[in-house]
Amino acid sequence: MKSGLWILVVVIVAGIVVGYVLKDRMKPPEPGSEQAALTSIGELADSEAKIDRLQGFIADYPASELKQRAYSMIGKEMLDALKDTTRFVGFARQTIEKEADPESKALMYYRLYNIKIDTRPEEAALIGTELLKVPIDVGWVYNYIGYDLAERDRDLDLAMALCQKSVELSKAREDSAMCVDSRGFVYFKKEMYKEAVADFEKSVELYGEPYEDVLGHLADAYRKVGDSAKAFATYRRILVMGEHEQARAMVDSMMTSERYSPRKREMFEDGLWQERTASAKPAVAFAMPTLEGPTVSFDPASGGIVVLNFMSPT
Amino acid sequence: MNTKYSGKGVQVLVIDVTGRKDATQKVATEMAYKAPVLLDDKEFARKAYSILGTPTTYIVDPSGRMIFKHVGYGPGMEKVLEQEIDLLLARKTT
Repeated sequence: MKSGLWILVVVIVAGIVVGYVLKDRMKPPEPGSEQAALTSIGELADSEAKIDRLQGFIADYPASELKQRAYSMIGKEMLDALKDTTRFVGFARQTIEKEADPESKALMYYRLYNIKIDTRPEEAALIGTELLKVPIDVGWVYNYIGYDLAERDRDLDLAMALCQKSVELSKAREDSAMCVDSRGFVYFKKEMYKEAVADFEKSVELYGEPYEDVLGHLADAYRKVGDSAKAFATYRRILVMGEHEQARAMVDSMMTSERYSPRKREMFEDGLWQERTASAKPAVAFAMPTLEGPTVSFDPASGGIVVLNFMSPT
Repeated sequence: MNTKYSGKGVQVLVIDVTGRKDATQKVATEMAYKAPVLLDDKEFARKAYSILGTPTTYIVDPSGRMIFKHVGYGPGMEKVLEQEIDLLLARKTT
């Protein structure tokens, strides 16, 4: 694999981790006082006051589902606003020791790992080793660290152990799909391409819906084991979902080496377009309030081209 | 992108899947979004658009189909979306 060929993946994995964390946040806000209390703390301007009140919130609502968000907000305040890494590391260590909630602990390990990998990457493996020893019942944090180490070509044996653990811990189908893909990625980095192919194929099957980055991994692994027909078909599957710089470049170079005539290339494009339109699902109409206030509605029958960008603020 | 394709029947909508107004306002201000930011406070996106991770981007064609889909965001993404819109605009006129 060309280094950096699937560089997007880090961003995506980060996005998925965020998505994971958000799953809890996306539950409808509780009508009770907890949500209101946290919102009012979030509006405070002074960092120290905010941290103080957030710690109070955690003490007041030890069983709250919003506790992880409070921890996350403390982390943001100490690291982003106050830029006091030492203080946060102390806080994270204390939380890991005292807190019983595994998700909150996982958040702390996630932050600690990221701090290490940015400042003293040679020590980042220690966080992973510690996690294996603890262990906590939260798959995503093992997956995140395992994948990130592999992406950086560091400590591949540890990365494998972490990804293996995440596969064991994952319960929901989509979580398994992600963790199996990560394990395949570590195999790939370890140049164990047959094992990588097996994991990527499994991941694609678990996802059900095609997923461009897992397909990219699979196509790369097919090339490594010398199955260029399957590699070509898999890059093409990515293109059915949408344009993709790397998949397009691979398909182009494979067509060139197969000496495709202009006519054959044209047929490829027509077939691709037909499959795109045949597999595209109808969009669903909606109306939602906006930041500015007034409701904006989206109607797929309006006849225009619409870009829908689903995001989350983190 | 909104500016580049204005007048060509291309609309951009940003949907915050968390519906968290405070945090989203901050991001929207920092990024200087030109597109309207919709707040999904009823988990509509997750249910109707099966959003697994964010960001997820769909391009809806004039027939109302989600013709292109991307999960994640990386360097070059804007270029890819522009390519796709150009493809759709070209197909529309032929």
